[in-house]
Amino acid sequence: MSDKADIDTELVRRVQRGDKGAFDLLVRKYQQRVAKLISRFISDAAEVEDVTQEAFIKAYRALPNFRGDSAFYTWLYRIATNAAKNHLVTIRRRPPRSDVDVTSGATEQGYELEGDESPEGEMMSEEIRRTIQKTLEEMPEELRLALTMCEFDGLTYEEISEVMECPIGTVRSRIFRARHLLDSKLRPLISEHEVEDVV
Amino acid sequence: MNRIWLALVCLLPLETALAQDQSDWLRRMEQAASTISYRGDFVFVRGDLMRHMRVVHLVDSEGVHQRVFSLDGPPNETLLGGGQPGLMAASGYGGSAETENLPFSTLLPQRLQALNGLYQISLGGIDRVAEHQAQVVNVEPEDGYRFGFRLWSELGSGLLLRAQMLNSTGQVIEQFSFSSVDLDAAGGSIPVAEVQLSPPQLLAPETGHLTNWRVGKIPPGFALQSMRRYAGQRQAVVDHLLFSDGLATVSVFIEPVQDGDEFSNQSVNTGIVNALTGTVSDNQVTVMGEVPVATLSMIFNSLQPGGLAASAESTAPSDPVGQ
Amino acid sequence: MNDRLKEQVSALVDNEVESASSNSLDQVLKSPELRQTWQRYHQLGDWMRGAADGKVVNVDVADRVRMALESEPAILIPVQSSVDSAEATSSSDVGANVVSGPRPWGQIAGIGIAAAVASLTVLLFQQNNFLGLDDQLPFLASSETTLHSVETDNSNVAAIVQTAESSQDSQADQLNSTTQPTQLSASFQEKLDAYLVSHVKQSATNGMQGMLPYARVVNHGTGASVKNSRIGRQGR
Repeated sequence: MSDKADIDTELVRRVQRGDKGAFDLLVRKYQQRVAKLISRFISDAAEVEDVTQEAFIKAYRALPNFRGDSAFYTWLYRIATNAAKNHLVTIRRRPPRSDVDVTSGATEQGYELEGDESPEGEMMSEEIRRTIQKTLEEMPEELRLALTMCEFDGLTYEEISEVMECPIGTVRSRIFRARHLLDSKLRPLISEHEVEDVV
Repeated sequence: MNRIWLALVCLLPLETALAQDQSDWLRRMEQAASTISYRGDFVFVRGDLMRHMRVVHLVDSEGVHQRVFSLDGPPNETLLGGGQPGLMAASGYGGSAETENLPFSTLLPQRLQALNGLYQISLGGIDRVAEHQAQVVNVEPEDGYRFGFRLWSELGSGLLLRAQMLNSTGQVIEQFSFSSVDLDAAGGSIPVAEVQLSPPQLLAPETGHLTNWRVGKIPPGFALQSMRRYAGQRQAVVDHLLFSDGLATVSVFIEPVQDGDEFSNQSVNTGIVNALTGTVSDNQVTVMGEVPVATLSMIFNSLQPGGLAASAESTAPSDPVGQ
Repeated sequence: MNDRLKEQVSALVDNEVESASSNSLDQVLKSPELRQTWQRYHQLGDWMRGAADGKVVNVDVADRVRMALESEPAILIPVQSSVDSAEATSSSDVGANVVSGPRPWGQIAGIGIAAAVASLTVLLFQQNNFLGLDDQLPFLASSETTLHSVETDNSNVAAIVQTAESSQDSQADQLNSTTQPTQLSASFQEKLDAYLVSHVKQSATNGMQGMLPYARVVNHGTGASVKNSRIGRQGR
């Protein structure tokens, strides 16, 4: 756990040296977490996605000034929070164009509090959750243990190797095999729904 | 449903009024600088440096006369305003080149609107600065190409009593604040400096054809505001291009590379006031401004010699948001 | 794509790679497939935690962000990005040096003003790279780029390099190995001086910053006294 931020630091450093590809990796790493944060402010799935995208673009533009005083993700979360709040403000200010808009504009006043996921989104979430649970239950215990200690408890490979009394290389390979298994079960789910990104 | 309608109808004009209010404060600050006579002491802080300074700012029929000088540290000053050559000679520093009347441009409404796209302008609370009530105005940049500001504007006159320049994480990188100020200084006179100071070498305005330069893609909101030509060292001419986003300014200086110029490709990063220099087609090009380095390097890289468009359009100062 | 590489990605996701072997990071950066793997493994962890607290989020904005950023400039920050850390570690002694003595840096010290001088860094770039078109960027990472720091008769630059070292090991190594002392030309310093006054004079016409531009010019005068002694030393 001690040097968890290293890879971020390295990626940020590369972005600041002009490597946009490194920023792409940061997006891929943090997009779920940023979207989740934003979904606490905004309920509409499409809007969450838009604001998530906007937050990353803002982060890229602000990156010349990122000085590493705080961890990258703390800094990113702050930008995302501001993007979400700004979005809410903009929505409220948007002038009504027709009667229909007026009505929806009025409901937007309650935006922060409502959580109306689309039925499809609910289904998708539920499917993902069930698949993860089922796959974890069915996989060999040593794989499940290694992965959950890593993902849930945030233990380092060294700590896991002590707990499981096995070499670090084994931990590394167990975690990979657990991920590989989960990934193979989840991939068909995601590709089915590829067109619709759902919150 | 009816109630919702009513609420919306009431809300909308209020929002518009608020937006106007924010812009009004900016306009008032600008106007105050060119219409009010005042004198006062202020403190200037940047990083570890702290200086107490005094300003005497008089507005009469001839325009603005202003002397700003340091109360501690090395005795230095700037003088603005024409028509008083004796005064200039006495103080030396900042003399001759400043005799041209310094224009205090006013924020045009279009410029204010453009600022709204680049910065988020919001009103803070009422604060007290140097015994005066002041409205706090927050100016936050929308991207990483410029710094933000927090401004304290005196309630009655609009005069800027305190200003802070902020980086992207909201840390203050530079600020000034009046400790005392007299807002009714009309009819007074500008004190003459007691210490004889040697003037630094300054660029003298010169007329002539400006070199043709083409400006490519530059950071959003920045536009060429003016081009001037100066006499530089060793009979060289220096072209000065000024870019602005309405609030932040970036200068580009272009002069031909001369024999004996040793290192002409350099990037000088002073941390806050940044400068980049390098050669473009046998010209030394230096870009500087109170903006992040990314802004400077983008402007530097956008410059190409030989284009006519930019110079033809902007030999006269133009509205920076016209494009 | 073989499993050995994917296992490396898995370890990279957990930040469990030897610091020396940023090779695997380079490989991920190069391979579209490994980037996908990197994304899915992170997503997996987020979903596992999401499944536990009842909120699974599924978005994919990576392509959209990448496309949106295509028109953006690459970010280029010379040597080090952390002004604050430089100030914190070296401002007191370095700043004092600059203001008090007849240093070549005095001119720019006046511009940057004491605290800022601590992070004063000069880089020399080869022309082609400096003027690099987008596809030549980043010039700092390119192998043809030569990095120089400017030698002064005080310890400014040493302090800066140390700052860079303490914050970014690998970068500092690179910097040390390519650093060659050079002297900033006196004529360039004078130019910078005159430029600064002109710049501030113009930027002050926009009254929005109040006293700040004038204060900058006045404190730039800090350099004027230094200049006199320097000129004297050179016998002019």
